Amino acid sequence: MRTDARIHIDGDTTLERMALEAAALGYQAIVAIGGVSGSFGGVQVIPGVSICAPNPNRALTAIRRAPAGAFVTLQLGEGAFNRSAASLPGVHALSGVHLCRKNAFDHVAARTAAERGVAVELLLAPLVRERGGARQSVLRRYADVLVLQHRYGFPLVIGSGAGSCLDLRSPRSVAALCGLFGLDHDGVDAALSGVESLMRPKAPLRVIE
Amino acid sequence: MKPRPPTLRQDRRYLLVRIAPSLVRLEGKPLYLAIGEAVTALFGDQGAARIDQAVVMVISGYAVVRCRRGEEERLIAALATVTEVEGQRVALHPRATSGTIRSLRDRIVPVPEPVYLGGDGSEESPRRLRIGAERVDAIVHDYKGENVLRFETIHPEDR
Repeated sequence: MRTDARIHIDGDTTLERMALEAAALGYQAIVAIGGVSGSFGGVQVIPGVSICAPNPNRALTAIRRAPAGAFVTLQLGEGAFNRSAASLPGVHALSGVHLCRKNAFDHVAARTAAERGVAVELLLAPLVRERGGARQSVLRRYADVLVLQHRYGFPLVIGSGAGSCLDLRSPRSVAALCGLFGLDHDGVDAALSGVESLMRPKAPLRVIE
Repeated sequence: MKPRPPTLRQDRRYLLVRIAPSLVRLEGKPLYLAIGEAVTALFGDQGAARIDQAVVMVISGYAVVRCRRGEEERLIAALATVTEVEGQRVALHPRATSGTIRSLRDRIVPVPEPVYLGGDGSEESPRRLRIGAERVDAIVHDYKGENVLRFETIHPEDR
């Protein structure tokens, strides 16, 4: 199920229209930050919660307040916070890796994310909107995340960060944009369908023999 | 000037691009300049020269953009970074790639003509235009006299 992992509905586009446009571009689901669960035009709307907290305790409190069935993303920050962020229960993805300082999302955080099955969100909005040095910095961060992803194997999810239906990008455009920092087509497909597997409740351990 | 024989010509690829929102009517030249700026910002002058992009035509909500063969992905990446043409917010969505313009013409799905639903364009009563069966674009003239678009869906009872 191709899913856009981050859409904001506080812009010029209603949630229903955003879902319609996403369907026209080839998505089956969208994560709407602040939105409500539903289905419009054949696109499943998954409510999303984006948490920005100064420390892990505050983050944990906010995670507990998230409604059931919501896709929870936690904004990354400094190195120490990032290391514990990946281990917090209830977090589906870590966002804002492009805003972190260099090496703030390090191999320890990457390994924890891989062990816990927590994804790292790659946001396309800064690639689309920024120019010059700012965009180069984002490309460097994402390329660095890919190095860690190849090593530790944590999941990736891709979000457009769209606040308007004009900010949505088709999967083909997403693949082309991700090619700029080295994510191949298979990686893009896996990342676009990553939300579904992250949202699926983990089955309890079953003893076969 | 004598034209080059076909074997010596550069191989080209043509991209069919849908222009959103459908209310926007673009000319070829501003679109060419916006795409050129996006390509240069992303790949530099050398990359732009290699991609060799050009807008071949703009027809009814679509544009056909040309590039050198093998550079389609880079052109699509650059098209994804175009957010504005002549001050108007737009999005360019690639629909198909082909070696001929003729085959792209067959892929064009006509954009429905907007139907005026009412409103005078003020904040209280935006000018509402119905696009197809479900979409409604509302236009509001802001205090600067510029048009601000809002994207909505038609109410189920009004369908």
